[in-house]
Amino acid sequence: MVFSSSTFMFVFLPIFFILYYIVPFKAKNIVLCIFSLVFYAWGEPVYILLMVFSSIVDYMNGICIEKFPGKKIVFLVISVCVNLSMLGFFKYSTLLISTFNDVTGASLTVPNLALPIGISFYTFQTMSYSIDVYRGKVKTEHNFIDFMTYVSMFPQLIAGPIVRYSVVGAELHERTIDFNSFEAGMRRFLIGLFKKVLIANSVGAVFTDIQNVGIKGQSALTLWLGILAFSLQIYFDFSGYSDMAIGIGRMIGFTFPENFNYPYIAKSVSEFWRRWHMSLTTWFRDYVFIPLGGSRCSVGRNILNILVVWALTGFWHGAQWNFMLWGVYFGVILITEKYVLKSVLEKIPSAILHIYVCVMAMIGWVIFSFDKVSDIFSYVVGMFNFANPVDDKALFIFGQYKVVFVVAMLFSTPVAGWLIKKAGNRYEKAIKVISPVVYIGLFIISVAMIISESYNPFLYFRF
Amino acid sequence: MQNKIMQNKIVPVTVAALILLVPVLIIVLPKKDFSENENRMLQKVPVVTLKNIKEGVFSDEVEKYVSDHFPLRDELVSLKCSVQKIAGIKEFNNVFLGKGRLIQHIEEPQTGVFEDRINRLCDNLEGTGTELNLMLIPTNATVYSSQLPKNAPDIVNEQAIIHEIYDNTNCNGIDVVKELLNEKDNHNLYYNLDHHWNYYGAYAGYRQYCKQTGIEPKDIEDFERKTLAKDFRGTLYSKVLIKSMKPDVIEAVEFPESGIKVEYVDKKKETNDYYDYSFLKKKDKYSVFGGGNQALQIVENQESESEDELVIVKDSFANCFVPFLVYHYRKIHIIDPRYYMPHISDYVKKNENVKDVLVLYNIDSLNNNSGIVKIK
Repeated sequence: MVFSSSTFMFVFLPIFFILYYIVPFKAKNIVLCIFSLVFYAWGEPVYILLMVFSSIVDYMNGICIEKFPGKKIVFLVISVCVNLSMLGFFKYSTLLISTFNDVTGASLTVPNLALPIGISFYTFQTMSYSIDVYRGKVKTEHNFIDFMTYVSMFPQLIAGPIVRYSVVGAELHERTIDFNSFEAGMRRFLIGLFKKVLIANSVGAVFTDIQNVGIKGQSALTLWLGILAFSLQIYFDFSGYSDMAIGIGRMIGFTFPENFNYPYIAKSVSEFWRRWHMSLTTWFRDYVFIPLGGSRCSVGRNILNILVVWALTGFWHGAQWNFMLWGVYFGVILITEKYVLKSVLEKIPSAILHIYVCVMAMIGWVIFSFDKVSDIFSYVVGMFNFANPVDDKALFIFGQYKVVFVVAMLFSTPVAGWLIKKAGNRYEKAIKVISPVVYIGLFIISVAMIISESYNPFLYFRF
Repeated sequence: MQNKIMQNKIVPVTVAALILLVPVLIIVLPKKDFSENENRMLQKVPVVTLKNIKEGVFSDEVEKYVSDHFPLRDELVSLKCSVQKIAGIKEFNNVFLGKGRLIQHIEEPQTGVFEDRINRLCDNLEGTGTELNLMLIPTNATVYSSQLPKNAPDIVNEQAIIHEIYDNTNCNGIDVVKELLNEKDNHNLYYNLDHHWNYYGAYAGYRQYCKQTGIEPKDIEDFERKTLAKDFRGTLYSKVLIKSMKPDVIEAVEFPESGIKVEYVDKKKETNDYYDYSFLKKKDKYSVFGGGNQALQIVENQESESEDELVIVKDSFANCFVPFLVYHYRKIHIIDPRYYMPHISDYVKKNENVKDVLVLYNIDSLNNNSGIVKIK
C-alpha cells in the first residue's frame, strides 16, 4: 500500500487511528504491528513471511548475543549473512545470473522474482539492530511483538527513513501520544502529501513522456527540461514520502530521524550527500565506511573505501548495473572534491557552486534513470547537442510547466519557507485566516489528484 | 517548517474529520453503476475470497471502489483539471485545450492493414458493378490547427497520410480535407467539445461525395435544418472535464415527412425516424443520430426518385452524414464492421440494387477501431 492512495487515506488510516487511540497503551504496539502487517501484505501477501523470518532471525540473534557474549561474533555473522543473502537472492539474483549468462554464454535459468517491497529497508534495519547489540550500543529487545513492531512499523516500512533500533527503541516501550504531537504530525503528513501529489506527480509527466518516446531526436532543451523535471520529481516524491512517514510516526508517538535537508542548495557534491537521504548515507557511514577504516588510513585505502561504499550505496538503489555506476560516479566526484578541488571550491563564488552541484546531480539522475549505458550516453550528449537546441516540444513543455517548475524550485530551497514566514510576521492576522483555508484547499486538491488517477475516459464504445 | 502560521488547530482537526467522514459517506451515499463521462462501468463491491486476496485482485478492487464511488468524484476530477489549467497545462488525456475548442491529439496511424483490407474489399467487389468510394475524415486538429495551443508538438500530418492511403488503394479516394479547410471559417465544422464533425462538416463531406459520384448536390439552404440539443458536452469534454467551456448545439437535417423506414436489422426493430430522441436526455447525445452505432441498419426512403441503393461501411462519423444522402438513394445500408460479422462483399452481392459502396472513417479510427481488420 502507498500513502498517496485512496485506500490508505480513507480506509486504512481511519480504522487504524480509531483503534490505535482507543486501546490501552499496552495494546498499542499490537494494533500497530497487526496494521503494519496488513499494510505490508496488501496486494502482495506472500512476501510477508520473508519479513517475519528476518525479524525472527534478528530477534533470536539479539537474545543469543546477550546470552553467549563469548560467542557473540557468531550471531553477528549469522545476522549479516542471513540478511545479505535474502537481499542478494530476492533483489539481485535475477541481475547477477543474467549478467553471468551474458558474459560467459552460459544459459542458467534466470529466476523471475518480484522484488519484495521494502526488503532493502527492513533488512538494513534488522541488521543494524544485531550489529548495535553486538557493539553494546543498544540493549537486547526481549519482547517479540515489540521487535516485530519495530521492523514492520508501516509509516517507514516501504520507503524509509531507515530507522535504527537505537533511535526508536525507547519509544517502543514508552512514548507520549497527545493532541500536540498528533497535530504536529498531521501537519507534517500534509506537507509530505502536497510534495508528493501536487509537485512530484505534476512534474513527473514530463520525464515519463520522454522515456516513453525515446531520447532520439529530442532537442537539447527538451532533455534539460526532462531531467530537471525528474530531479524535482524524485526529490519531492522521496522527501514527501519521508515527511509523510515522519508525520504519521509523530501522530502515533514516534520520532523518526530526518531524511532530507534541502539537498539542492548544497555547495559541493559532498554536502549534497549530507543533505540527501541522510538515514541511508549515515547507515553506510556507520556500518560500512567506518568499519573499513574510514578516513583514518592511507590516501589509497581511503579512496578505495569511498569507492566501495559508493558502489554499494548506488547498488542498494536498484538491481541494475546503472545504479552501481551512479554510485561510482558520485564516489569519483567525492574523491575529486576531497583531494583535488578542495582548495579550488573554497575560492569559487557560491552561485557557481550551486550550479555545479545541480548539474552534477542532474547528470547523476540521467545515469539513475536509464539502465542502458548507450541511453545514458546519448541523453548526456543530447543535452549538449547544439545542432538541435530547441523545438516545439521543448517550448510546449516549458509553456505548460513553467509555473510548476518555479514553484517546485522555490520549495526545494528554504526560500519558500522563508517567504511564508516573513509574510506571517508581517501580516499575522490575515495569514492566520488564510493559512487554514490554503491548507485545507490544498488537501482537497491533493485528494482530487489521487481520485483522478482512476478517471479513465474511453472515447469509443464499451465492448 | 514549524512557524507561527501553522500554530493552528483548525487544519489538523478538519483533515482528520474528513478522513473519518469519507469512508462513512462512501458506505452511506447512493452509488452509481455506470460513469457516463467515462463511458465505463464503475467498480462493484469487492468480493473477499482467499484467491482474490492472494493475487492482489481484492486490493486493486478496493482501491478502484473507493476512487470510483468517492463523494463528489466528478467534481473533484473537474477541480483537478481546472487547477492544472490555471497552472498552465494545455493537454489532458491526449486532448489539447485549444483556443475556443478542445482538439484531439492523435498518434501517427498505421496505414498498412487498412490499405490491405480496402484492396481486398475492392477485389471482392469485382464483377458486382458497384463503385467503391473511400472517404477519410481528418480530426479537428487538422481542420482547426490554427486554434491549437502555441507550440503544440507532434501533430500528425493527416492530409499527407490520407493522400498516401488513396494512392495505395484501388478505390476512389474522396478528398474532404481540402473542402473542410476551405469551409472552416464560413461555418464551424466540428463540435467544440466532441471529436465528431457536425452538421456543416458533414455537409462539406456530402458535397465532395456528390462530386465524386456524379450526384447533383443540394444546396445547404435546400435542406431543412433543425436543432436537436443545445447542451451537448461530448467525448473531448469527458477527457478534460473543464466546466467553464460552452456546450455545443446539435443540428440535423430534417427528413422527408413521409415514406421513411429505418430498420435495425440485428435488433429486429423498425421505426419511422432516423433520430432516436431518447439519447438527448443522456450524456451521449451524439447517438441521437441513428441511435448510435448499429451492426446493420437500413434507412429506406420510399419516396426517393432514385432506385439506387448505397452501402456505407463506417464509424460514427457517418451517423450525422447519412441524413444528407436519403434524398438521393432508395435505400442506405449502414454497416459497422465492429459489430457486423459476415463479409461485406457478400452482403453487396446479395442486394442487387446496390450501386455504390462507401467506406467512411475518421483517420483516428485507424489507430483504435477494431472493425477495420474485419473489412472484407
